[in-house]
Amino acid sequence: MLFWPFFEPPATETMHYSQRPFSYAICLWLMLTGSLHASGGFITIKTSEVPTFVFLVVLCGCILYYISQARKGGKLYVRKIPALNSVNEAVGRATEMGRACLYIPGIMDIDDIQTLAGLNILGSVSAKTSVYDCELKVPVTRSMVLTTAQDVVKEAYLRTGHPDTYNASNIQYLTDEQFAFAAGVNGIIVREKPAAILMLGTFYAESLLIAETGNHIGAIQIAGTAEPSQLPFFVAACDYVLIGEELFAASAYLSQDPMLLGSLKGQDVAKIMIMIAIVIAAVIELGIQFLGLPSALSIFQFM
Amino acid sequence: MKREIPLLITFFSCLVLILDFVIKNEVLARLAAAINDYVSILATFALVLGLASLFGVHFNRIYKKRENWGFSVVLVLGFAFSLLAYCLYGVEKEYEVPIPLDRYEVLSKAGEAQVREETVHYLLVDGREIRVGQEIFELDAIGPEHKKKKVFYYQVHSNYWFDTFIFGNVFTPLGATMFSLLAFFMASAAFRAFRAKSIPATLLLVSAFFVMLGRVPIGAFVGQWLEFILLPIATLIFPEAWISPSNQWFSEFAGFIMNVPNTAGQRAIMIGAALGMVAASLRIWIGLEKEHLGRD
Repeated sequence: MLFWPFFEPPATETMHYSQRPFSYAICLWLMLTGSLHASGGFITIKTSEVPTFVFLVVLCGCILYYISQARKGGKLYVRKIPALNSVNEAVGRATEMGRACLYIPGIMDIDDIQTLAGLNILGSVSAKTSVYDCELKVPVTRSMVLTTAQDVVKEAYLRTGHPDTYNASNIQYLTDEQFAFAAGVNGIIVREKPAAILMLGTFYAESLLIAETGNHIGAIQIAGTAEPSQLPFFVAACDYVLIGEELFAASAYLSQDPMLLGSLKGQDVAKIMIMIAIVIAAVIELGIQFLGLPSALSIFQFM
Repeated sequence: MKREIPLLITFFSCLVLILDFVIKNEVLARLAAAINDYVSILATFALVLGLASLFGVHFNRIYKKRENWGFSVVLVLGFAFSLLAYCLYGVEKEYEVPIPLDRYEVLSKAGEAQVREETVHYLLVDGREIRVGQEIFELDAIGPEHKKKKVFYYQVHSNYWFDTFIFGNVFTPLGATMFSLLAFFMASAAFRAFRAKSIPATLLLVSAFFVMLGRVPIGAFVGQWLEFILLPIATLIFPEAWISPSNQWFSEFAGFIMNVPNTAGQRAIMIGAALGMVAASLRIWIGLEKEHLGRD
């Protein structure tokens, strides 16, 4: 079991969570020794990337620590996110009006983390639409996202006990081209007039095209992206917006899984560390500007 | 094992990519490059599934003569025409032909063709020249000999009428049309959003006023005409506006709003989003988040 960290133990046996880091270390050691052997003992550390790697290790350490703390029990507080609380309201509104829900998981491929976050939320949304017997349409712009989205929605419908209402043709591939996809989605919005539109993933220039069309037909719109340049358009045109990290927190928030919530806390601790570092750096820089102190670079060189 | 195998593949692939980020090792570099290639190959195969889904929907619509089935016919005919044309004639080629130095000099003087020169790196292996990238060239552990030389290229275009017709006369104008709709949508969104309903909304309205006018030439005139009203407001936030010339303080103040508070807000969102991305990636890497694989 130590060598298969993702093996899910049978119900009669539980793998202690403290064994997982050890099994990860085993895998890491095997990888390192294997590559060392294969390359004849020649490994060089990229010194330019070490500070980034150290920061990543610290950040991941915080997250893993709070995941382990959450596993031990105890309720974790997460502030209310209005956009996610309104998903129920949006799906309920669509059900009452007898119209469909439209879900757009972004325009990038499955290798984009925002698309994965959008697909994670799609699972929760499709579970709700299956329970409420509301039609869910998911136009996608990449073939691999199509297959993944079909799987996610189908699993959700099976899980809630409504496999008969699942319709694979509702999850359709439109096109890879950005504005052709926007035109296709706008056509769906204008023709079928969905009552709720959820746009969660990576969006670029087509964000306002889609959001404004949805606003024009009077749909309730929930949007979320980590692209700072598109957030103002969503804020102007949509009813609820998930800003940046809220998109990635959505799966933890909707599932209320303790380990996922623990990762949010670890992320917040890392954010506090960054804020402290920024304040210290700003104070040092002010001291350099106004008090004529030696530059930060020379301080580091001296140290 | 339906979920365990994808989780294992995810874990080891991410491990290779992370180690490649920090460790300079040939085996890891090749593995990382191979993983990136696999993604492209899988995406290409997945394209077939996407096309199957697309045509399943549209053929069904044509067969059952659903509403607007004529547009489905247009889509199918357009796809068939493009596929047939490019299968027969090939995709437009922009390939480069190596030419000798004297030919390069003649062509570049005449200005008749697009020519360029490039420094190319070769490894000599068993008497054969194998072209490599610069980063491989710089690794001392690879290859018994290496050299670089200048090569001159002549770029060839193959000009097909239907390529110009499809992309130049149909596709590009359609994309430009959709993009141009943004201007009107932005105007309607701004009309709705810039209302002084609350203090934050009023601040948004005032800053939008300064930024929009500061980006166009007429903003300089507005700044001069309304200097006695607007300049004190701007000076409260941006003291340097007071000492700027009359025709420049407006645009400088707009630049200040974009460069300082706007950039600060954007960077804050980017830092939060980046932390969220790392946390989400870590959860997917260690198998905590499995929604995209489907639950049991």
